[in-house]
Amino acid sequence: MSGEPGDRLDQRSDVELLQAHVDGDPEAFAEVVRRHQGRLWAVALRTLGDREEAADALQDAMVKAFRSAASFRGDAQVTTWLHRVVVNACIDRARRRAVRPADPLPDDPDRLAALATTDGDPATDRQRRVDVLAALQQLPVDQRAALVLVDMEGYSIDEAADLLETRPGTVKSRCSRGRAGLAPLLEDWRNQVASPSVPSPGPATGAQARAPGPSRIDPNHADPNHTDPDHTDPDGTDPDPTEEGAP
Amino acid sequence: MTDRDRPSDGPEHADVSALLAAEPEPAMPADVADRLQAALRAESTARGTAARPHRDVTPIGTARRRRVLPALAAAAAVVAVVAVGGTALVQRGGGSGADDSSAAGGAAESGGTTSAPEPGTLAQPDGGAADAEGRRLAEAQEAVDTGLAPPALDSAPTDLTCTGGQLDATNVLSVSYEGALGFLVTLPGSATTDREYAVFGCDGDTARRLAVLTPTG
Repeated sequence: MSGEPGDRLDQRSDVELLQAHVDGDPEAFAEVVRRHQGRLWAVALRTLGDREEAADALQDAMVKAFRSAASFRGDAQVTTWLHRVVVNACIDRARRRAVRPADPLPDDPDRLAALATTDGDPATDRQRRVDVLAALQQLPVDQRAALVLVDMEGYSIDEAADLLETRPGTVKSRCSRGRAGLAPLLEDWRNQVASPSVPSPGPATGAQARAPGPSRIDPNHADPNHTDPDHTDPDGTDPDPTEEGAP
Repeated sequence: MTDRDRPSDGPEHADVSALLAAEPEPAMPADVADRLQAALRAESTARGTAARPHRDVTPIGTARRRRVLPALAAAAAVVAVVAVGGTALVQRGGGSGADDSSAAGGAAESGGTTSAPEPGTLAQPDGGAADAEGRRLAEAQEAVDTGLAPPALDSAPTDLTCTGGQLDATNVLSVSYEGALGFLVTLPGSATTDREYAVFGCDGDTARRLAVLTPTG
């Protein structure tokens, strides 16, 4: 399963590579990571909103996965397992950051612009990405993680629930509350979305107008340090009110 | 009811979902990729100089309700060399019976709770046993840190029992604890955490909670 010596690493499956790693192949795990590091980075960056925090979280997560690869039971895809390790590392890191109020939150527009954009993006696209990333950081980390996985990474509710080690109903609730929290923060961009799949160009006023810019985001709108608002369900209609905060 | 209180998706938020979905994936910076690969090379090098530290690992399994798998006990060892990087608050519930677990959701508030450790360390219940305690907990902690802990139980168990040396509970992960078979259970959280982890052992038909691991945050 681990392949004969001389086999090309890029021709082996993830599971074969993981087994090869457990069997002592010094290059196999790095190849697995190379295959998935783009998506793993996206999850880390979007969840933490800070380049260095995301890089640290991703590195910590991959080192842990390296060391515990033999514990992988094969009942999920390797990439799902890696995502789970990364998501847990990010949530833990976000919570640790939340208890260190002296640490600046990653809502500096310039820093976010550097994170969210790539050379050659139209200005409006850059601004939208900055605004989306900034708005995400205003959400509690549990809601943010759920939205990143479901809406941005395309995981199903059930898959996200598995990754987050919680119930599908809780993930749905977190996503719903997260979207509701983002709605006023991204109001101007929402109005530009012509269809569910294709966003139209940015505000008619142009990117320079920075219509929905981070400066409009009320940092008190949602407390990022508040990691679990899901169980506060004033009207009792939370689809899964007992999941968290239960005695 | 405000938008934020709305518990279920309505069409009014489909545009938010679409906006998020349309965001292109950010490219991984080259220096971050290089740094990650360098870290993995360092791990690989360190592994190569050690005496098979990771090949001694055997898979852990999921214990099923009322299912007797004696052989599993021998195969329950997980990672032997562990760098417990995560911050954890560890409470030793030594000798406490299953009834103690009814308070697991509020373990952080219970009298036996040790003070919060420094980041990257485990709380030490007493000085003399500190190292041994850390070693005993390491495997369960690794399962927690790497996301291998089982899904949370619906509620904190109040009367867990054992049958045939197996914990009578669903979603249990077998781990070795003090050289014997232990069972890692994910508990619903308290006011300060959304989940906690407990290691149970079986003493005849009685389930005893051996330790509680509470992620900080």
